[in-house]
Amino acid sequence: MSETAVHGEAIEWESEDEDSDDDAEEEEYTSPSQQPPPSSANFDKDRHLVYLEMMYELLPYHYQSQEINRLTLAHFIISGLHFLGATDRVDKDVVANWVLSFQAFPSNRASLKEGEFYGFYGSRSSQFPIDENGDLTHNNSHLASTYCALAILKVIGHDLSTIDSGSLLLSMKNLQQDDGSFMPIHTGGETDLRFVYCAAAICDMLGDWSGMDKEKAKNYILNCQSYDGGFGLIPGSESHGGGTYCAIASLRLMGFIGADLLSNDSSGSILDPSLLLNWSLQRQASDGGFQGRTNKRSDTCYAFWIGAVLKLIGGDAFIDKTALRQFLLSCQSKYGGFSKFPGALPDLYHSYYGYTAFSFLEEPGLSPLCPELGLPLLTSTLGI
Amino acid sequence: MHARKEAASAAKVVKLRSFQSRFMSNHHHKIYTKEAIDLSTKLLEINPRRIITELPPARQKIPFHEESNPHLVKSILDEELKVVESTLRQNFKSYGAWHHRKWVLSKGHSSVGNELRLLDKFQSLYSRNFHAWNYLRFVVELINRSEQDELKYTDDEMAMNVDGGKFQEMIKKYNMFLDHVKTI
Repeated sequence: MSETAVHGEAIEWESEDEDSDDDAEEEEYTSPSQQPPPSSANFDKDRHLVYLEMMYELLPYHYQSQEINRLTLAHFIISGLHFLGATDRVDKDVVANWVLSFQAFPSNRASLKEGEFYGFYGSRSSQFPIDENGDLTHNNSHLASTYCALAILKVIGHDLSTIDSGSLLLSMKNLQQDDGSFMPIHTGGETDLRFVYCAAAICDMLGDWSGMDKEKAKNYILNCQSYDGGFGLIPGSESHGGGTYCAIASLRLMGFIGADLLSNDSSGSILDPSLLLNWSLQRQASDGGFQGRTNKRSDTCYAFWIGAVLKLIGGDAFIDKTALRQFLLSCQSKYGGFSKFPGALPDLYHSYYGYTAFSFLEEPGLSPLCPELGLPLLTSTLGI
Repeated sequence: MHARKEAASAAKVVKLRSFQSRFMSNHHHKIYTKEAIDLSTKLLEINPRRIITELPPARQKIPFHEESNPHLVKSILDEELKVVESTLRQNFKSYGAWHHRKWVLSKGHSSVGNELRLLDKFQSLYSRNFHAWNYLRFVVELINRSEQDELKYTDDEMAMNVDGGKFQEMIKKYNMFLDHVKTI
């Protein structure tokens, strides 16, 4: 999830990642002169607003290398503003038109080219002009960007039923592999849980599951569960906070598990929740933060990735929320935003997941959280 | 001073735009000469993150099957591995870079011994790199399959025997581990 993330890398995640990112920078961080700053006592909403507004106006040059994930960065800013109750700071029509301008279309339904995916591009730099036949010469639309595009539209209250989602959903099936996993882009790419999650979230937001084979996706997800109860990003890999989130959130969105997973008799369930609960709770470290994998440093974003897992399976009451809050506050930057570790500089990805984490902790003044979408909880915008 | 920096920045932008439009044109007209490939390498060096978008697919479209000279194919693929390696040095967590490497290896013209040596280097830099661990499993799978199918990787026996057979020992232990995990 990279980024990426899911988004980037999310997409990459992420983006992603951008997306559910791995955290290797601890080796770079350890400088004896760098003392973590004293924790502030409170969530500094005003400073976060200044930070996001500044980012909305102009991204610092350090983000140049993430230009291909521009839509993801926009999602972090705009959805972040929503958590802070400040979407009135953006011009919603301008934003909607901008996001919609990234949608890829086939020249006509009949020409839905074999194997291509018609979603959203991540940035103008991936968007090539149409050729003389009205076809897209290079269709680089991407699953994670599509998730971010729909997320932004949903957050600003745009009616998603007005989007031309026919070719999007029809062609999304082209990205699903035989084993149930998803490629992010039809030209090829790594297949892993991040993109299964993007697909499920897209179907949920559009209220239409014709874009994916849920049963196959479920099987792939279950194959990603490791011996310790967590989920890796691909079958056989190490349990990972981002992977576990993608697994559980997807299963929840697809309706294979319910909110009562822990409280119910687990014999009828598709997975044993106790081992998962155990793994997830063990990720809360002595400093109060959550780590992404065993023996890694606590990192702001896992407060969301794993906190949300626990919320979804009904086990969040076991989290030491006071300690978590303290850790997160130590990652709160005096410039606004959140950093990955205490004392580091803030970035948009960790800031966004800091806001989602505080929403999960029910911080007063923040919008409530929709844990399975990683977005503010919103009423349906499907014209219902 | 400030004006000079701005001028230098502006010049960089002009250069990048020119590379980019030439790259687009090559891709559109399916031009895969050495010059075209070098251009996309240059773009990758300027911004390694592009490896997750259009660059690998562009390079993967190179019509290898049409090329009858196996040495030429091997040298092109070796060049790919060099480019990916330099991208990985800047960011060893890049999903796209590791994926492109898998694609090159799956063509069957590369040395697995080299891959194991590379992995050894990455693991010693940072042992928790799950991309490297996943890639190791991929490489071991290739080796296991080649033993069964008597494919070309067994030509690499010399490479495998370096350091007193260190890699062979590692692979044996790893396969034992995989078998054990299946029984848990």
